[in-house]
Amino acid sequence: MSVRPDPVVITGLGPVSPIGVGIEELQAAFAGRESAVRPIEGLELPEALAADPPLGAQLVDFRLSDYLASEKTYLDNVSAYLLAACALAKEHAGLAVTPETRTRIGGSFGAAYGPLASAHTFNARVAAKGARLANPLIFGHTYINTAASLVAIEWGFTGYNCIVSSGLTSGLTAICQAADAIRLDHADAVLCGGSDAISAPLVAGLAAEGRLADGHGGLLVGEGAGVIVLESGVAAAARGAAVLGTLLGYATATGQTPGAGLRAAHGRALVAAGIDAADASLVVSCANGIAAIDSAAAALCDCEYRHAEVIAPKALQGETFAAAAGIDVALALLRLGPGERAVVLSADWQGGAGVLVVSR
Amino acid sequence: MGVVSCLGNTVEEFAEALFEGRSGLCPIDRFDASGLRNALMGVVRQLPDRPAWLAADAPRYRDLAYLASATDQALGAVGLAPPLTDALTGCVLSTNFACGEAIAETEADPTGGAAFASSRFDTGVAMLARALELSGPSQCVSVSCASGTAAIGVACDLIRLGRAERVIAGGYDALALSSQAGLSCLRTISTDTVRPFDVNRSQTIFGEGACIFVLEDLSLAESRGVPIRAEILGHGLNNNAYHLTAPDKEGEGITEGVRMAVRDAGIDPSRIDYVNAHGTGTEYHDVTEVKAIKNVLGTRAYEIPVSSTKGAMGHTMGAAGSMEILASVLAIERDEAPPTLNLSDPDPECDLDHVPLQSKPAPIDVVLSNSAGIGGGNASIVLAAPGWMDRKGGAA
Repeated sequence: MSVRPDPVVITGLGPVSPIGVGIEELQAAFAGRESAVRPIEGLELPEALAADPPLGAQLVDFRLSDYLASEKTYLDNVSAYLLAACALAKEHAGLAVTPETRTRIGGSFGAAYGPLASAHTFNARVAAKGARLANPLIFGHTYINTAASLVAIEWGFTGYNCIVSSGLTSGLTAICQAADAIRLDHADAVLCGGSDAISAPLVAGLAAEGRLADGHGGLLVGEGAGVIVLESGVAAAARGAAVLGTLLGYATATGQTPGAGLRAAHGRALVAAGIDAADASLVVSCANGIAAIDSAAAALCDCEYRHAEVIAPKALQGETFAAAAGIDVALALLRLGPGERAVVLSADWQGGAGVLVVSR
Repeated sequence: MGVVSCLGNTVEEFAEALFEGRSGLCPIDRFDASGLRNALMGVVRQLPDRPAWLAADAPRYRDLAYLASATDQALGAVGLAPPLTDALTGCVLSTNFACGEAIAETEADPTGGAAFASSRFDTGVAMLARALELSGPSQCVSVSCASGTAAIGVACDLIRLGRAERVIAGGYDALALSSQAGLSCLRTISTDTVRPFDVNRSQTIFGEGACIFVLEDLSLAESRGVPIRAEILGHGLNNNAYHLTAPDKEGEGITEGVRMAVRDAGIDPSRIDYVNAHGTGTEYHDVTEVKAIKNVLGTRAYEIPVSSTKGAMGHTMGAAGSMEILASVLAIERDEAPPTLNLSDPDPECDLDHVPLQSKPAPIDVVLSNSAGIGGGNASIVLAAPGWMDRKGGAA
């Protein structure tokens, strides 16, 4: 086993955010501070929630057919969003899947909650009608790895493929795992990031946990997908791909609190990148309305990044869970000037955290 | 290493039953299985005790009890106890269905926040991270039924890249009506029993449990003076890119997964001494897997034992790959291939030495363990006896 010496580069971006789908829409909406946050609608919520719907940021008028030609019989929104994001990222990267390259192209995607809506539908039918009348079509879409499989099937790549779940850091962790796969020569190119979808069981569950915004802070639930294309520098150069940025360093960590986890991940990521905090001009914060996460991000920025611009996309698009990291990387690269560096933060209320260091 | 399974709740019990050719399958009575194709399952007979290090408020669901017990055994076997702050320690776990009991509670009462919190896929990871005071990378991976192998491979990569010095890794799952209803309606469950490589095979039987390993960087393990049970040489993780639920009959995807693992291990396929096959006993998969093994191992495939342990414990879902890696480590230690139970009339298309019914003594230094799953995911891993790579890895 040897570690590839060439850098891991970013060659494609595929954001599917409540504030904009695709890089042009995302960039324009973020620049214009267009918020997608409004009362959640279109879900069959428990009575108390339905009477006073919580705030969130939903993808409105999303149609997978706008991004993908092939027809689907049934898809959970988690899969639909991921397929759209992959289509955008793959096109942006100009990445062709050929018989020669298909074993060297992979997917590494995060899912915090996965296809909850499909699981709920499937389980409800089993509970109501018994196991004998369970729905086989929907069951195949209740697996958390279904979305990653559908992506591989859609474009026919038989390389590295995995789903990662680590709560709110799922997408960032999946990006780290993709970079690991490239550095260890498991793959030349990996579509990576993640996807999560707003559903009635998700909103009801988060409300029951006391996580949702109530006027005194709390989570603004969001949804979408964020996918980037990572490649080995050598592979990208060999096919003449335009390099959008470089993944200079990355790390994930666990802490007993979000603050401890974030500090540990941040320190390791900077060491891996070989830079100091002073070398970064932009921070994409993970602040999302959860007090412990907001204070962890704020403490880190106050201590290390008073010189830098700090942006908090979740204020506009809600907490997009596994989609966040891919969208954050896109926002960072769209804002950075040539040679500038950004730090992308991610933290979960259970103490997991991750940090990416990217340069343009 | 630690295990909770239908074959026993310790590594010793597991090994004894497995190599003696005893089956742990029995009808489940924990839930109403009358609507399923079969009540026969690999059921954990006795719920293990909770380790003392687990917080009183940690969730009390069955799958997490399996996970905690297997972890406790694995730590105890190498002289570790929480807090694991002596080295950068992470956690990579796998589960196919997360916590079925918590999901069922949430379905019944959507206002139950605690149950919803426990239904997250990374609940087991968070439980261990908190209780063991982990500081390294911690995550759950899922490649459906290949997850238990994938978790070990991903954990290995974290150590190889220096992102962790030690990783608590493995898989777990508990049988629940919802998952079995789905697998039953997909007709993956046999109405008979699981008969890998047999001409009369009629799909698989599912099981449950947990299997956890302590993986360490070699220098850390050596500095601690703990016995090293095996070394991981390499792994492969990929997708058939064929169909969500139908098998790729040509076996191109699984061939590529095996090839990735052997290439990553840096050995010639002729060095492999034993293959622990996924061997689910499903109509198409067994033939496809045999094709893939032949595709990569060539004539070596005909010279070595290739067995499936699913006849003994069923397909333990998210734990399956990890339990099969445990069986592989034991095979190396014992120089003995575990048997394929219920294989009495071999399928002519499964024409390798599938070790029917009784274990087989054989010199085993290097093992390939395969897993595959719904969605087309494949995971393979290559293990070797401690020090084998240094002694013989480069030799012809």
